[in-house]
Parts: sequence; C-alpha cells; structure tokens
Amino acid sequence: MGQLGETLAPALDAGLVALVFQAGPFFCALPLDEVIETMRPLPTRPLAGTPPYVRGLTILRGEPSPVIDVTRLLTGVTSEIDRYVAVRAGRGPVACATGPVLGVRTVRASPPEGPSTLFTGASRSLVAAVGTLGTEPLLVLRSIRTVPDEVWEAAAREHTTGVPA
Amino acid sequence: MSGRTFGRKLAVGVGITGVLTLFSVMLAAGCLLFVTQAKDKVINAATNELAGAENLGRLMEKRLGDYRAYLLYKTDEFLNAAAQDRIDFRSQLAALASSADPTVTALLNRISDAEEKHAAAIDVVIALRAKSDSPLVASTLNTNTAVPLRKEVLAALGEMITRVRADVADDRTRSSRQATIAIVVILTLGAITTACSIVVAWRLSRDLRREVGAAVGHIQSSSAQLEAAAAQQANGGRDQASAMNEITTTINELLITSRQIADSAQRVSKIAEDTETAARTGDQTIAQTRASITAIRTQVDQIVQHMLALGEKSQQIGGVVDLVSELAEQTNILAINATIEASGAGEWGRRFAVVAEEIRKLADRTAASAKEIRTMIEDVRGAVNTTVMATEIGAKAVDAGSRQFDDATNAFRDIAQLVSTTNDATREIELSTKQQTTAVEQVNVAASDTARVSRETESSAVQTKQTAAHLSTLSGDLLELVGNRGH
Repeated sequence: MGQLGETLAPALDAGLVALVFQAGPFFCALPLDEVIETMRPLPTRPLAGTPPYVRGLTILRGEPSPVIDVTRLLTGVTSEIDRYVAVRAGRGPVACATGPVLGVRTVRASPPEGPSTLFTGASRSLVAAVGTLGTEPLLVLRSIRTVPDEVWEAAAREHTTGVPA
Repeated sequence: MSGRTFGRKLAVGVGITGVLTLFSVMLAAGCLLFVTQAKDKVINAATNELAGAENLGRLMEKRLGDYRAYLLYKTDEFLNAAAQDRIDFRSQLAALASSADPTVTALLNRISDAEEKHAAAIDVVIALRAKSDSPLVASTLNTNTAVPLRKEVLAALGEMITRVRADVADDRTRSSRQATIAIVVILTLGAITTACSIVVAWRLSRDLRREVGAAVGHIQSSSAQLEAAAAQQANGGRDQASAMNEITTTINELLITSRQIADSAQRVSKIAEDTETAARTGDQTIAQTRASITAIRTQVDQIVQHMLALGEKSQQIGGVVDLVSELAEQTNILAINATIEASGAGEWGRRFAVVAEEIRKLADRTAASAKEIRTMIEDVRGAVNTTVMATEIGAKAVDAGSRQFDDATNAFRDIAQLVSTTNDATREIELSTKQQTTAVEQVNVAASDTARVSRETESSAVQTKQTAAHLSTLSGDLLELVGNRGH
C-alpha cells in the first residue's frame, strides 16, 4: 500500500482527476483510471457470512460482482444509496454503493502522513489521501481491496454455476 | 236507685213517703175509729145501760112517789101516774133487756121478777087504799109487804147499776188501753214514716249532691270551657275579620293586577299578531335565501370538479416531469460515464469529456429544473388537494348550512305557528283574565260579606262568652244550693 501511496503522491500534488461522489457525510473521490462506469443501483443479492459493508452480489455487464457499501465502510452506518460506481479491483470489477455522484473533478489532497495517519484498519487501507472540496473534507480512496476472499469465491461460484451463493 | 233519673228518684222517694204517710193516716184513722168505737161502746154502755139502770131507779123512785102520793091523797091522778110509771119502768126494762149481756139480763130478770112481786104487793096495797080512807092501813100493809119487795127491787137495781158501772169502767179501761195501743202504733208508724222520710231525704240529698252536683260541676266546667272556646272563637273571629280585611285589600290589589294583566295580554296579543305577520313576510326571504344557497352549492360543486381536473392535469404534468427527470438523470449518468471513458482517450477524449461535462451540467440543470417543477407541481397538487378539501369542507358546510337553514326555516315556521298559537293563547288569556277580573270582583264582594260575617261571629262569640260566664256563675250558685261547693 505504501508503494501505491508513493506512486500517487506526485499525481496528488499535481491534481488528480477523480470521480467525486458523496458517501454519507463525506465527499469521496476515486481515481478516474480505476473507475469503469457509474450506474443506478442494480438488484443486489445479499451474502451470508460477509462483513457488514458488503451488500452482496450484483451483475455488472454479465458478471457477478461484489457490492461494497462505501458509506458503511467509512462511517459504520448506512445511508441512502443513489449510484453504483464500478471500479477495477484485483480479482474483477467491484460495485461501490455510493450517494450522489458529483462528477469528474481534479482534486488536490494531502499525502497520507497528514490527517490520514489517524485512520486504522480498513479506513487506513482504503483512504489514500485527504483533501477538500470547497469547505467540505474530501477523502481520496485507493483501489478497493477490502473485499474478502469469501465474497470473491462466492462471485466465482455464481459465475461458474449461475446459482446465487 | 242507681241508674235512674233524679226526677224518678225524687218521685219514688216522695211516693214512698206519701205511701207511708197515707198508710200512717189510714192506720191512724183505723186506730181512731177503733178507739172511737171502743169509746162509743163505753159511752153507749154508759148512756144506755147505766142511764137505763139509773133511769130504772129514777122511774122506780117516781112510781114510788106517785104511789106514795096516791096512798096519801088517793087520787086517780097519782094512781094513773103510778101505772104509767110502771109501764115506763117495764118499757125501760125491756129496752135494757134487748142489749144486755147475760149477767145484766139475769139481773134484769131478777129486777123484773122483783118488780112483779113488788107490783103485786103494791096492787094489794092500792086496793086496800082504795077501800079505806085512812092511809095508815095501807101504809102498814105497805111496810109489811111492799117495802121488803121494794128493797129487793132497789137492791137488784143497785146491784145492776153497780154491775153496769163495773162494765162501763171495764169498757173504759179497755178502750183506754186500746187507745194507748193505737197511740203507740201511730207513734211507731209515725216514727217509721219519719225515719223513712229522713232516709229518703238523705238519699235524695246525697244523690242530689252527688249527681246534680256532678252534673252542675260538669256544667260549670263545660261553661268554663265554653267560655274559653267562646273567647278563642272571639279571638279567631277577630283575627278572621282582620285576615279578611287583609284578603280584601289583597284582592283589590289582585284586581288591579288582573286588569293590568288583561291590558298586557291585549298588548301581547297585538305584538303576537305583528310577529305572525312578520313571520309570514319572512317566508319570501327564506325562499330567496334557499335559492342562493342552492346556487352556492352548484358553484362549489363546479369548483370541486375544476380542482379535480386541475389535479389530474398536475398529475399528468408530474408524469412528464418524472420522465424529464428520468431522462436528465440518465443523461447525467451517461455524461459521467462518457467523461470516464473520455479520460482515457487522449486529446479527443478530453474534448469529448468537456462536451460530456457540459451535457452533464445540462442534465443536472434539467434535473434541477425538473425537480423544481416537480416541487411546484407537488405544491400545486397540494394546493389543489387543499383547495378541494377546503371546497369539499365548504360544500359540506354549505350542505350543513342548508340543513341548518332548513332547520332554521322549519324552526321559523314552527315559531310562526307557535306565534299564531301564542296569539290564540294570548287572546284566551285576555278573555280569561277579564273573566278572572270579574271573578275577583265577586270574590271581593264575598270577602267583604265574609268579613262582615266574621265581625258578627266575633260579636256572637263575645255574647256566647258572656252567656257562658253567666252560666258558670249560675252553676257555682247551683253548686252552693245543692251543698256541693267543693265538688
């Protein structure tokens, strides 16, 4: 992760083109090269035995993909879901359930040694930098890697058998 | 004697006393008659027997005188006289013999025999004197023959007289004893009669004191009560007269009030007639108001229909706005995705990203406008709904008002009917009040008469009180008269 932070640092200093959206009380940004597309919330099947921020599985362009509730992941509480943002993850696309999508912006954020040093656990592994959007804080998220392996395996089984896990 | 009236008791007592008195009188009369008879017997014995015996002696002496005169003077006059004297002597002797007792009869027979012998001796002497001129011869013969016989006759006469005297004395003694017995019987009966009279008088006095005294006491008590009642009646009559005066005054005031009520009833009747006329006039106004309410109801219905149509149009506009909003959102998503896609397409991509960003902005503006329109439409729909509800409430209010107006109209008609009824009742009240006034006048006259009668009753009660007091005094006097003052 530290390697990723180092690779992102020059870009952040020069301004990062990212997709800005709202997740609960926070404004968040995803690097645009990780974003596949945005869409309305799709039908999602819940999965048992997964963390609370995993809403379940949905079908993105014909393939089952896990749905991560970003608001739940960042704040621990749920809020209204307006959009799904499909991002590229290590083992396939992941749908991030977010609030309203504000658009593609060029954001500037502080390096992770700033306020982000306070984050721990999943937040620390998710937040790459912290910036501002107007007067509101802006969290620059790194690639979603927090999807447990059980979810990927369930998605793989669904993709193989076509039967929900 | 208890349980009988005092008059009967008095009659019985007087009757007993009278019967005893009559019995005493009769017994006294009987005793007197008995004594009288006894005395008559004594007197008869004294007059007849004793006088007859004495007369025999006197006739004997008279014959002896005539006989001696003949012996002296030898005249026929004395001879006839002597013969007549013997006839009288025999007649007297026969008279005595008719009623004499056996002893006297025996003495009379002895006297008769002695007189017969003496007369025979005298006849011998008279014959001798007739033959001789000298009285001595005859006197001698007389002395020898006639004198002893004469003494025997005189002795017999004397014995008879003695005997008769003894009988008379015995009869007198017996009659005196009978008279004494009669006196004792009369005195005893008188004492018994007096005792009975005393007992009857005592019983009558006692009953008089007991019963008449009690009755008089009751009369006195009743008189006192009657006096008290009369006094109370007098007071009551006085109070009644006073009350009747007050009643008369009240009735006069009531009469005035009745006349005022009659006048008021007449005025009320006039007002009721005016009210009835006004109520009938109000029917036209009611009809006009009813037509206005019907028109308002129709207009309200039309407003409701228009509002509902406006709501439907707003719904349709909302559908269009939803479609526009959907399109704008979809456009937003497409623009963002286009920007994402364009970011990896180099310079052309950046130009396309600019275009896509502009499209996204247009889509956002469209969505915002659609949202505003949606809000406006919601406001319009809310306003329409509110208006429809208000209009329906207004319609219901109009209906309620119409019903209330119907009720009010009915009430108004009822009021008119009641006013008419009130008018009739008021006229009846007016007539009744006039009749009541007449009746009150009659009652006033009657009350005046009653007050006068009350005063007369008071006067009568006073007189009754005085009479009762006088009767009480008389009762006290009567109690004193019957000797039962302390009863």
